[in-house]
Formats: sequence, C-alpha cells, structure tokens
Amino acid sequence: MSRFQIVRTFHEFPLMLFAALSIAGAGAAATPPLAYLFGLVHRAPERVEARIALFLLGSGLLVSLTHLGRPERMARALSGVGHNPLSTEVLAACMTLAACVGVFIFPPGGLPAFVMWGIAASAGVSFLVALGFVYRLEGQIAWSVPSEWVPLVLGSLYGLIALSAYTSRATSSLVTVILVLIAIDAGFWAVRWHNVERGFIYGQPIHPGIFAARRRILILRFLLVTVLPGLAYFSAMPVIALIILGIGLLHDRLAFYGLALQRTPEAEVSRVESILHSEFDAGKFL
Amino acid sequence: MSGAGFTLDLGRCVGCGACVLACRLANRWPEGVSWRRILPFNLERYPGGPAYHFSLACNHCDNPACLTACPAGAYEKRGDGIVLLHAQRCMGCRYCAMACPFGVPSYDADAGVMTKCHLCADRLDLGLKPACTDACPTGALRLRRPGEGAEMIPEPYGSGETADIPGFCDPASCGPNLSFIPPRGQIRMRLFRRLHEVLKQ
Repeated sequence: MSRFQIVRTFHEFPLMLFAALSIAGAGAAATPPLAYLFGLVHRAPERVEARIALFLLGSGLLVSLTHLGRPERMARALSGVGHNPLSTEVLAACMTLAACVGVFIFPPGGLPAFVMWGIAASAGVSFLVALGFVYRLEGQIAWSVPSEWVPLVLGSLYGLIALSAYTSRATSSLVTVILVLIAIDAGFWAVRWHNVERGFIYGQPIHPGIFAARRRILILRFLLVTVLPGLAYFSAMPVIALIILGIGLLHDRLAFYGLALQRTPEAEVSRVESILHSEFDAGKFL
Repeated sequence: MSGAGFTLDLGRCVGCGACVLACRLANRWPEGVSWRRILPFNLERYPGGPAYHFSLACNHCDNPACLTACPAGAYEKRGDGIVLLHAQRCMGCRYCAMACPFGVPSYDADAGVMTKCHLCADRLDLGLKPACTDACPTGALRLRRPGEGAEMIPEPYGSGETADIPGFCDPASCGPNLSFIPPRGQIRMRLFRRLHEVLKQ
C-alpha cells in the first residue's frame, strides 16, 4: 500500500489532531490549579495558562468537527450525557473551555476566577479520563488496558512540563511527579507493545498499511513521548521538552488510531484457519 | 437470544451470494457500503476440513454495542428486537463502527451518515420476509422471529442449533440474534467436533 493510499484511508486524521490538541489543552487547564493546590508550585494559576489551554482545546474541538459526516448535527453529541462516554467527553471539553473563558471574564485573584479555575481543573481531569474510557471497547484489542489511562498521564505530563516552563524554579515535588509520570508512561508503552503484538492474532488491523510499520511507530512513540522529553526536561530545557512532547502527543494518537485492532468475524475466521493450518501440517486434525 | 434475527443453516448455505444481491437491490446500498457479506470458511484451502460459509449482516443483538456507543441517540431497538439506525439523527462520527465487534455499521460518505441492515423492518411490518431470506435458493438463511428459539426450527435441525461456531464469536457479550445450524453428515460432523476440540485446547 502506497503512502498516498494510507493517508487517504486514514479517516481518523481529524480525531488524531483533536485528541492530541485536547489532551494538551485539558492538561494545560487542569494542572496549574491542581499543582498549586498540592504545593507542587508556589505560584497561583495565571491567565497565560488559561490562554494556552483555550487555544489548544478550542482548536481541537474545531478540528474534531471535520471528522463528522454531518457537522451541523454536532449538538447531538450531547444527547447521551449521563450514560454515554463520548457525550460525557464532549460535555467535559465544553466545560473546560467555558471555564477557561471565565478566567478571562473575571478579575484575576478574585473568588469568581478561583471558582473558574476549580471548574477548569475538575472538568479538565474529567475530560482526560472520559477521553480514555471512550475507547474502552470490548471488540478493540489494541485499545485495551491501560490505554484508557494514557490521556490522563500524557495530559498531566504536558501540563506539568508547561508549568515548569513558566515558573523560574521548579520544586523538587514537581520534578518527582514528572519523573513518576514518565515512568508510568514507559510502563504503559511496554504493555501496549505487548497488546499490539499479541492482539494481531485475534484482531483485524483497521489500517493494514500503518499496522505493517507498527514496531517502528511504537519505538518512535517511545522516543518522542517518553525518552526525549524526559532527557530535555532533566537537562533543564523544559521548553524543548514541551515542544518534543507536543510532537509526541500527535504521534501517540497516530499510533493509537493507526494501530487499532478490531475483533471481527473476518479476524476470527483467519485465526481459526491458522490453527487449522498448523493442525493439518502436523497431521493432527484427522 | 430473544429478539428478531437470522438462522443460518451451514449445511445448506453454498455461498452463492443471492442474499447479498437481494439486499443490495432491495435497499439500494449507497456507494462503498455493504450491509451483508459472505465469509467463506476453509473454502478449498483444507479439503478435508469442515467447509462452510457465513452469510453475515447485522445480528440485531440483545445488547447492541452500536446503540450503547452512539452519542447522538441515532439507534433504536424496537419492541421486536430489530435494531434500527435513524439516519436523520446520525452525525457521522463512526463511533458505532469502532464499537461493533461484527463490523456491521457502514459509513455512507456521500450522505455523511452510518447505514446498516434494518432486517427489512418495512417488509416485516407488511407481513413479508426480509429480502435476503426471501432470495435464499437453498433455504439456508431464515428469519427468526422474536421469541423463536431452537425448538421452533423443524427437525432434524432443531436439536443441533447453536451459536458456538468456529470462526464466529461474540467478544463483547452483545448477544447476537444469529443462530447457526451446524453442517450435517457424519464426516463433516466429526471434523466439526474435532475443530471444536482443537479450539478449546
């Protein structure tokens, strides 16, 4: 399959952009107030952080509309609030966005602005959790545990590294939390590698052209999300770490959608036929 | 299984594709969309093995993954168990296609909405059979009305009805309303049972 064909059939491209931008945006909105609350930084959240979150999350939501076949019906996405994870995700994203707008409306340092930051934090975390759980689908093998927690970890990592870039001096607690998040992500990556390799037996790649390059994609993902941002951060270059992590987030979502493995009757027939094949060759079947 | 669905007699289905064609003609499939497909199992590859064909469409599951997943409320399960997709409510997010473990919902790129088999609900309401079962020349594909179980299928098929067929599984506990009658004949049954044993190992 040519690269042109792969790009043409990869209809999740807007979803990939949406997810990467919104993970970064929700992380940027949720971490400043939470980090301040838990004493990871000694600086109250400021408008600049809300501005960045607003830009990232707003662009993500706009891009996501291009994925819809009928974008004029976008409001229907909220029809399932309360029982549908995708509706919950959209609601949480809208609430985060609204709270970031609220930070600009109200004077800094006042109670209303403080409340807005509280809403931004809770809605941002809810969005990151919901985004993960949206893809917890029984028939999707490569998206199984712990994929649902990846957006929360990456969003937090992005937000905390961004916070380090604003603040002149990071506390040791902040550095420790970042180190822990990088370690968790490395563990998730190892499980994911295993899921993708093992899942190939049971599932059908949605994008065979991309799936063929799965090892290269996963190695690159490990470098861009875990190794290089970590190295840059611990070399006192948080801005560089943030830029690499931003690219890594895009690549992570490419790996997520591109390496999807769905259980289908076609995949099941292939699996059973491969068992038959080995049984026949070993002369055991008859 | 309690709702309306299909019964497929694996011993009778020859994979002729009449059901696919009938569905296509009756429902005027949009370009690039498929509501029913024939999936050959072991065709010509292992002559000594149990060969059969799956004629697959929507299984109108008891717990439809598509309906649960849809954020727009475009899916509806009727009282008789038929899972309907209301195109006028669909926003074309394709999440149902990701959720369905049977690869059923298809995206109509021209209309920007999902489409799928509706078990010819309009024909059923008029007392007719679905187009696919009506067209099946061997009687392999049959409509199973709501509440019908194995006991409603005439002998000698009734006792052998099962949904546990190698090559077909329900990983998401959707409860597909598709029942199978295993292939008949002593040799084929023996090979079929052996295949079951191999898979259990």
